[in-house]
Amino acid sequence: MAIKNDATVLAFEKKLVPSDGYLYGTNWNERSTSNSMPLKLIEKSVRGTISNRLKPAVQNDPLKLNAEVEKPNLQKVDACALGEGQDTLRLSFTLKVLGGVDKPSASNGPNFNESYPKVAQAYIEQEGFNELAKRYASNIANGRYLWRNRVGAEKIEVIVNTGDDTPLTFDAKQFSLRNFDSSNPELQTLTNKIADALSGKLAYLLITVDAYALVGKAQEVYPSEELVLDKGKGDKSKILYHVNDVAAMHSQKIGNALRTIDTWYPDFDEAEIGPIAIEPYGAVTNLGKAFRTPKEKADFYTLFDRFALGEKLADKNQEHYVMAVLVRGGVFGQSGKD
Amino acid sequence: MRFYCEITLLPNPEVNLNFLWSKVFQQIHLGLVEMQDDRKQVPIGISFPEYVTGEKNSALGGKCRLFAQDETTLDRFDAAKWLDRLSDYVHCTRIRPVPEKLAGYAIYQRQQPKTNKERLARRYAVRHKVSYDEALRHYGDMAPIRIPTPFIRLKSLSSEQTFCLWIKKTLVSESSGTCFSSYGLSATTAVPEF
Repeated sequence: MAIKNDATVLAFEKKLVPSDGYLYGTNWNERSTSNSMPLKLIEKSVRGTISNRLKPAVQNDPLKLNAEVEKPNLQKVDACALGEGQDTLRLSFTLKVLGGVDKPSASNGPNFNESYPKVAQAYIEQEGFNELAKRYASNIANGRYLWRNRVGAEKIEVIVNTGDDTPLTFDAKQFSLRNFDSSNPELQTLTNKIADALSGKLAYLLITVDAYALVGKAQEVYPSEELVLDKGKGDKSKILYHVNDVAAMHSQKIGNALRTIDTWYPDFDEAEIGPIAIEPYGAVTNLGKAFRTPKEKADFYTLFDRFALGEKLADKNQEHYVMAVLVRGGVFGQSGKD
Repeated sequence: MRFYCEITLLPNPEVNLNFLWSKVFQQIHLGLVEMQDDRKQVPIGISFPEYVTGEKNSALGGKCRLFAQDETTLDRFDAAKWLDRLSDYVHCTRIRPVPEKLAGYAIYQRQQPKTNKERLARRYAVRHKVSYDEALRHYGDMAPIRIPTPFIRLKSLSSEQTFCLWIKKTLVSESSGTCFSSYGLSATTAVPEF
């Protein structure tokens, strides 16, 4: 019988560490020269109508129904928009890239500890993280982390500073969201930097990203929405994220966009939704679907248990996927009991 | 209607269909406004080939088609230009002739259900020269209505207000008329279904 992945405690730290993204307002023509202003949230009170489905008892009793409908459905919501004289959104964040994917931050399996580092180092030697780095770099260049702010923006420019003297400039529209085919010298520079950092050749890489999206004068913009866990009466029904009074995007949301590089899942051609985020089960929450199921033997755990013990995977793409999940990080131990 | 081009909203894990419809339709509307003649009529009509009518709810689906009598009209409109800024999210076909074999015709029209008591009361107050509060009382027992018709949420560029554009589909047996509103809709002009 083949040796088994025996690590019951197993964790990897994330290797791509984005900060929160901050939202600023500016003007397209002066974006490089003038200061941009932090965007603040605006609280709106709106009076809605009762439109949710009512209980049958209420529906069938006209008196009760009227009483219900008379209640003003007052709602408080957060909103965020550019100022009257601004037409461009600036989203700024930093991204730390770390090496050491061959070293789990916690692991207790003797077999695993023996075989995994060799396998990981072999991957680094052969691939040098070039494929993954190119995809991460493309997602920086195409502005995917702007999320809904990207839809319908007239122009998008991304300025990336990797600590060199010359910042890299990308026209985001030249880089597709649906594939990772486009390339140019700037993208190659960024790719090499990220690849070197992930492979451990570069001790430390901090990337500063400023994305400018021309969305139109005083247009609404979309920071992250906070998940409201306990809704009390009279509370706001929509709360947007802000840090020190600056509207912001969750770092998790930026991380999710950057690792939206999985084109290797089984249904890629049929699903026609393009790349999905790197996740152990290929979960896409807002479609309510997992694209990598253990049944199809396409999930991370199935592939990783074989890969980590030195078994060859069916193709390079499965290796890329496994390494990308390790770059994402997480706790991957298994129950000691069978 | 002899020519058409088809616009597909690409499925996308990042952006949902309703949000995308708002953005896409805003652009189409802007384009159609520029096609208006002096009677504010537009020679381009719209259809939703994936429109489904259900008992409780209907849905627009993820496609629309733009129709015109001749190729040059669609050419002049240039859908690709208006949708350029959405190129990562939509796909637009070239202009094609409408196929010979049709499934029938349909009218896509705007529906404006009376849903807002306050709005009705404001109008009533002016019309009947009564106070707003009195007018509101007049509509006091207006029950809420559920509208099963699908809609696109739009923002008025003149008043900055958001509103729902309800789109109702009716099947008809014959083709008729050539003119549409600046939303590509019409209560009388039918477009081919296939």
